[in-house]
Amino acid sequence: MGPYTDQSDETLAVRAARGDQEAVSVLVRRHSPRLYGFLQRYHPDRDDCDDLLQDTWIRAFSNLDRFDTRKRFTTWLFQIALNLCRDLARRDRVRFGYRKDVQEMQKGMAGGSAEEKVDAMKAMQAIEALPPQQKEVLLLRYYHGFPEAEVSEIVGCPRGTVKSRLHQAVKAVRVKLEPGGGEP
Amino acid sequence: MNTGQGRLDCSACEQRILGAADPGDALRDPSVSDHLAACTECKELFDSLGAIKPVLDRYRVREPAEDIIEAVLRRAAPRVHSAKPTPERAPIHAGMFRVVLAGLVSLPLVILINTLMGWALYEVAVSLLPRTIALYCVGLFVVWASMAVSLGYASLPLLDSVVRKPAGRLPVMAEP
Repeated sequence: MGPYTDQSDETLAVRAARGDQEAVSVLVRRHSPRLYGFLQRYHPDRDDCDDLLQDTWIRAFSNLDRFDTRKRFTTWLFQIALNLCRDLARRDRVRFGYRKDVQEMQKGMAGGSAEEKVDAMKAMQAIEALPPQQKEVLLLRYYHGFPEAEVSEIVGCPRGTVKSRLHQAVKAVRVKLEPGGGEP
Repeated sequence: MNTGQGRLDCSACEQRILGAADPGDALRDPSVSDHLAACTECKELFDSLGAIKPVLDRYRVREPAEDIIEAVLRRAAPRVHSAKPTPERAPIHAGMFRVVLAGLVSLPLVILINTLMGWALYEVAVSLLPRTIALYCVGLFVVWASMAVSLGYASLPLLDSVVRKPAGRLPVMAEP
C-alpha cells in the first residue's frame, strides 16, 4: 500500500476514477469499518449490513464520476449509504412492519454492570423507536461525530432542521430513559 | 422559553449545546454554564444529551469480516472502469459573462470593419438603387454583420469552457 495510505480520500478517489485498483482497495479498507458501524446501527441485522456495505461501495464506484471533489469523500459515501438504508427500511416496513432486532443490539453492548447494560439496552431501543429522520441525525452527529454542516449535507436538509431533529431526538430518548419512561 | 437569564438566550444556548461534539465541551463557554445555572429547560436538554452520549459510546459495533471486504473489492473494482466521466458544464452564469465580455471587447473593432465594408457597398448600391433604399440596405447589413461577427467571437470562450476541464468534478485525466 505504501504511499497510498498517506493520501487524502479525495486524491484516492481521483486515482480510483482512473482505474487504480490500489486506490480502490485503500479507500474500501479505510472507510469500511466506520461505514459498517453506521449500517449496523441503522439495520442491526447482520446479513442486511453485509449487503448494504457491498451495495454502497458498488454504487459509489459506479458513480465516481459524479463525485464533486470540493466536497468530502466521506460525506458523499455516507449519503449513498443513508439512501440505501432508507430504501431498505422502506421495503422492510412494507414487508414486515416495524422491526427491532433486540438480540443483535444486545450483542453490541460492551462492558458495564448488568444495570448499566439494561439502561443501555433501553436507550438503544429508544433510539430504534425514533422516527428515521431523528435517528439518522442523532447517530451521525453524536455517534459518528460528523459536524452539523456535514450531517445536514448527508441527510439533505438545512442545518436548522438538523438542530430541531436533534433536539427532538434527545428529548424523546431522555423521556424513555427516565424511570417508568416509555412504559404503557 | 427563557430569554433573560445569563447573557445567552435559550436558542443560542441550545445551539451551543447541540453544536458541540461532546456536551461537556459546551461548558467551556462561561456564558453557557451561566445560562444553564439559571434555565431549567436548557439544563434539561444538556442533561439529556449527557445521559445519551455514554450509552451511544457503549454500543460497540463489529468490524466487517475480511471476506466481506474481499467481496466488496471483487464486485466494486470492475465498476470503476465502467464509470465513464461525464464532464459537467461550466456554470451558466460564468459562460454568459464570458460571452458578453468577449462580445463587448470585440464590438468596436467589428463595427469599424463593417462600417468600412458598408461604405464600399454603399458606393455600389447607390449606383443601382435610390439613395434612401441604398442607405437603408447598407445600414441593415452593418448592423446584422456586426452582430453576427461579434457573436462569433463571443462563442469562442464558450467553446473553450466546454472543452476545458469541467468545474468541480474529478479531474480524471489530471495527476492528483
